[in-house]
Amino acid sequence: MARLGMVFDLKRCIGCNACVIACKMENMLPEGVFFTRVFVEEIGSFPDVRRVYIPTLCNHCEDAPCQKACPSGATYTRDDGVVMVDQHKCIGCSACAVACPYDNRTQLTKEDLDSSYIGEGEQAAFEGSRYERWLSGTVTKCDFCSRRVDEGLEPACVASCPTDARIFGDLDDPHSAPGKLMRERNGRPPLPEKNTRPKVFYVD
Amino acid sequence: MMTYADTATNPILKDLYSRDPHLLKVVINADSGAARGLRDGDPVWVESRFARAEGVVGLTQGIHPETAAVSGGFGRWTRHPLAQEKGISQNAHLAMDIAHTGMLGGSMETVGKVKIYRVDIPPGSNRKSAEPVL
Repeated sequence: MARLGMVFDLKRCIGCNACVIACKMENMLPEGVFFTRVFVEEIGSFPDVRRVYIPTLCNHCEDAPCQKACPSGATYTRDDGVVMVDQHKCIGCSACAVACPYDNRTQLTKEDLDSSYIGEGEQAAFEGSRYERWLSGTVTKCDFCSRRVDEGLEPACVASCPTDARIFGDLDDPHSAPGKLMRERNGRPPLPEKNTRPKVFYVD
Repeated sequence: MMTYADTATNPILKDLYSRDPHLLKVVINADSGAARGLRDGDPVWVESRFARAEGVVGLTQGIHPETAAVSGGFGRWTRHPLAQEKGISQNAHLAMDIAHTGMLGGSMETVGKVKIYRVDIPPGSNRKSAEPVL
C-alpha cells in the first residue's frame, strides 16, 4: 500500500502563496482558516539579507498525536496514510487541536461559517454553497485533498505550485518523485523531537 | 499573490494581505527604525510636499536604511468595502506629470522625498517637537 506524503523543496519556494489560495478555493475555507500556510523569515541584515519561506500543512503523522487524543474516533488514518477527520463523529472537544504540536487543526465555529468575505451583509452564492461541506463546531484540517487524490489528481496546493516546490507522491516507492528527492537530498521532518513521525519532509 | 490594483479588492487575497508583515505598512529599515525609536506597528505620518497620510510602520532588513516604501495597489480612493482604508497610496506623494509617467504601463516611474513623523506628535501643531524621525 502506498504511503502518501509530501516533500517541500525549500530552495524552490518563492513565497507566492499560490498554494494557500488554491487550498482556500478548493476547500472553501472561511476567512482566517488555513489548511496550509507559508511562514516567512528574514535572515541577515542589510545589505546581506534574504528571506526564507517555509510552507507548512498537516504532516499526516504516523504516530498522530491528534488521533491518540481524539475521544470519539473521529480522527482516523486511511490505508494510504492520510489522516482524516470524520465530521459526523467529531464532538468538537478540540482535544486534537491542543495535541497537535504543529498547530494545524482549526475548529470551525458557527460564526466562521456564517461570515462573509466581504464583511457585513449576505454571503456570496459560492460561499454559502461550499460551506455546506463543513459542520459547525467540528475540528478540521488538511486531508491532502483526499477527494482529488482518489480521482487520481494531485492536491490543489501541489497542482498550483508554479515552481514545483511541493512534491507529492508515495514515500515508500524509491522511484517516485518524493522518494527520489528524499534519497538524494536527505529530507528532514518538521519538529523531529516530537516523535510524531511526519509524512511531510523538507529538503534544502 | 500580488495582482496590482485588484489585490486590495479580492476577498480571498485579503485574507493573506491583512496578515502580511509588510504589505499594508510603511516599510522602513529595521536598524534605522530602531535608531529613531520606531517599532513594528507604530502609527506614523508620511508627509511629502504634495500630501500627508497616516500609515503603520513595518520594519524589515530588506530595504536601504534611508528609504521608506509602500506597496503599490493599496490606499485606494474607493468605497469598496474591502479596499477602502487599507494601506497608503504612493501616488499621492509622487510628482504627477507626463514626464514621470511610464509610457508602457501608465504608472508613476519616480520616487518622492517624504518626512515621517510619529503620529503622537501631529505635524504643524508644534513644529519644534515635531521633528521628523526619518
